[in-house]
Amino acid sequence: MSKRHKFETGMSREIESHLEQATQDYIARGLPPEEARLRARREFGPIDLAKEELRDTRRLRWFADFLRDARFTLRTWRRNPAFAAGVVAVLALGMGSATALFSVLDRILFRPLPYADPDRLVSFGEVLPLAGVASPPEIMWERAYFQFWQPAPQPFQSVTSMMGRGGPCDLTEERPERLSCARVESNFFDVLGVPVLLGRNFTAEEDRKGAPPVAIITHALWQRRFGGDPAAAGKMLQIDGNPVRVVGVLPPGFESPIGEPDLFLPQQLPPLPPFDPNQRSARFFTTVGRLKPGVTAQQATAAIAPLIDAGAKLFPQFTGPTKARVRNLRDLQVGDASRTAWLVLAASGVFLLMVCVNATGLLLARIAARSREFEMRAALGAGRARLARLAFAESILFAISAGGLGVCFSRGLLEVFLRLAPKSIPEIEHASLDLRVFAVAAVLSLVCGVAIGLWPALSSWRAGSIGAGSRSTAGLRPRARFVLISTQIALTVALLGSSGLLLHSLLNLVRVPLGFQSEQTLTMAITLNPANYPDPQRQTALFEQVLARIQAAPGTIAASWSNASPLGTYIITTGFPVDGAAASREAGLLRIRYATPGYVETFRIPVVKGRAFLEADRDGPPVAILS
Amino acid sequence: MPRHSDPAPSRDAALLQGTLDLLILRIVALEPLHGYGIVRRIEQMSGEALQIRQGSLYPALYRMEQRGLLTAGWKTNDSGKEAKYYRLTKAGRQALAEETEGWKRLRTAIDLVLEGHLPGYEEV
Repeated sequence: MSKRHKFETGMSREIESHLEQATQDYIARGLPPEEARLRARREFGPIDLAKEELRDTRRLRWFADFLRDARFTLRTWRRNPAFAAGVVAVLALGMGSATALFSVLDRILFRPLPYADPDRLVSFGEVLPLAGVASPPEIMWERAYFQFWQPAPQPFQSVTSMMGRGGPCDLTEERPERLSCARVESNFFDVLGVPVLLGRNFTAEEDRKGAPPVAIITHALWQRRFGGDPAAAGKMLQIDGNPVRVVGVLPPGFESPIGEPDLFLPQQLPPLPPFDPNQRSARFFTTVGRLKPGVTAQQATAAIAPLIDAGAKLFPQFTGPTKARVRNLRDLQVGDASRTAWLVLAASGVFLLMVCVNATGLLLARIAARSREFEMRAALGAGRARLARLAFAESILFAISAGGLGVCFSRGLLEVFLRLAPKSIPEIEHASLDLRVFAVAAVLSLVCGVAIGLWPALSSWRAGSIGAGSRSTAGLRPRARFVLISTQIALTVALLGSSGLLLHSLLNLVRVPLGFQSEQTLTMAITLNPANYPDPQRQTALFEQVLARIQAAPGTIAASWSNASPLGTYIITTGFPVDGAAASREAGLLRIRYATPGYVETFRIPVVKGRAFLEADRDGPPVAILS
Repeated sequence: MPRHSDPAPSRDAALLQGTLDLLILRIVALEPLHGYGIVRRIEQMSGEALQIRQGSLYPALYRMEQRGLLTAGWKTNDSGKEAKYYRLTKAGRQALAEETEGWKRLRTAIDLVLEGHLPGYEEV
């Protein structure tokens, strides 16, 4: 800035002095001062144009110098293509993998959620006391929500609720389609701060039980079903055989706090039944709140702890301690993935660093090999700065070519990532190379260019200072080389160590004894449309029929139905009395799955004590197998 | 004193591309001079035949300074006004010698074409 300022004032001063002298000259020749000034101005021509031309000389010079250096560097590369290709390949490898990883992790770690003021949006509730679940979600019991959270208490500005992540529902019309439908409170999109693209939001009346069904659909569904028709709001869709009026369309890029519903419906909950102390099932919500400005999640957690406690007491079966949680929506979305994401990002950073150190080593070796050339240049009058700039231009050129190649490489790598990545990584399917990622890649390659160029530039600076070839050891001094090689080895060891640890913990995850054998076991899921299978008899008949066919198929050892597979979903229930001993809250909640006989055999789950289900249990007294 | 009322150089006095640099080198070689002085000196020495578009003088000066042919510094002139004086460097002196040589060769070559005859042909 100061340099530019100096240039500007110098330029103005010089032009000013020129006009002044010309004016004096004309006055001396007998013109009246006013006319003399005008004449001087006219002869000079447009001042702004002149200034712009002068500025150009400055800008172009910088660029022209770089171009000249770049051309020269390219010539040296052509003379030694193996070296250039090697450095570019090494750098491209590092930058490409870092870029691909960033594009995957960006969603998890950095990208702001598509809501208004997303930092103030939190998920809150009671952490479910589920034994054996690694990270139980926070939920809000329906009764507690309506008793204590309407209207929103301090420190919340507003709260809203959502029933689960959205369940399967069918579009039963031409071109039928399986969709995911989520039920939300009528103020859901207001609290998130997401305006509808088309149509309108839900009204409070539409959230009442028995109100005519309405829906707000995602941008993708709008495109798919209505071809982006602006008149779609107000049209009907057949959902599970019932006509539903579309009242609004969400903007593109909308993300649900949990799940990926295509369609949002109002909850339309019936009025709460009167309080029943023996009630063993209850609805619960995922609750989202907007904090008042300046309130942190920690403050909010402390503030709502008594409310959560009071809510839990509405279940007298539970008298033990409750745990309140308030966390950012991003944490709700990505869960535990963020810690792993940071680790992976750090590892890729170390990898990139190692790549840069390697490239620096190669460049330095080259400068050492070219020390004669540099001495010659110095002797011919090239300044040290000029020599340093030449070395620098080479590294920048390396970084730019490698950055370009790296982006291509990262495209391929991203494909591989997406193939290999488990579906459990949130949002991974949306990972792509967009402008944001390109910007990061560009910055990355510039930083790498500077990083790998700094030392070689300094080294050639020294080469320049030695002057007319008194000694020929312009390259790397033994000590510097030692430092460089040690850094390289240290980084390699550190990276190998940390990636080893990462791999180890990954393997641990994979090797966790599942309690069943997943080899040669296949699962499938069926969701029945309530329109076609309205009663349990018809549903059971279908399941029986399918099961019989599967069991009859050659190669089947065992088959069974369950409402959930091992590691899959479950139904939550309160503890219940066993042989008269009342369940305590400390025991937490229980997870239940229902299964037909053959479940244990199908998954080859060892039965430690007792027996597996028998066909006779279908109609006999209720039985259970405990974990 | 006859002056062009038109500030643009007349067509016959238009400078050949690249010759402005040579003229500047020559003028500044005589004594350190400021921009306006260079304009006036060229006009005077060419018998008012060469008119320089003043706006194009400074870009040329800046470029030559960047190429290391000239150095510049602010000085107070005899009338007590400040002005930026340009001075020839060693490299500038060398460039002047080379370009003068080049110009002379060019002029000789052009003269040969303009005044010479093809053998066997008489000028009409």
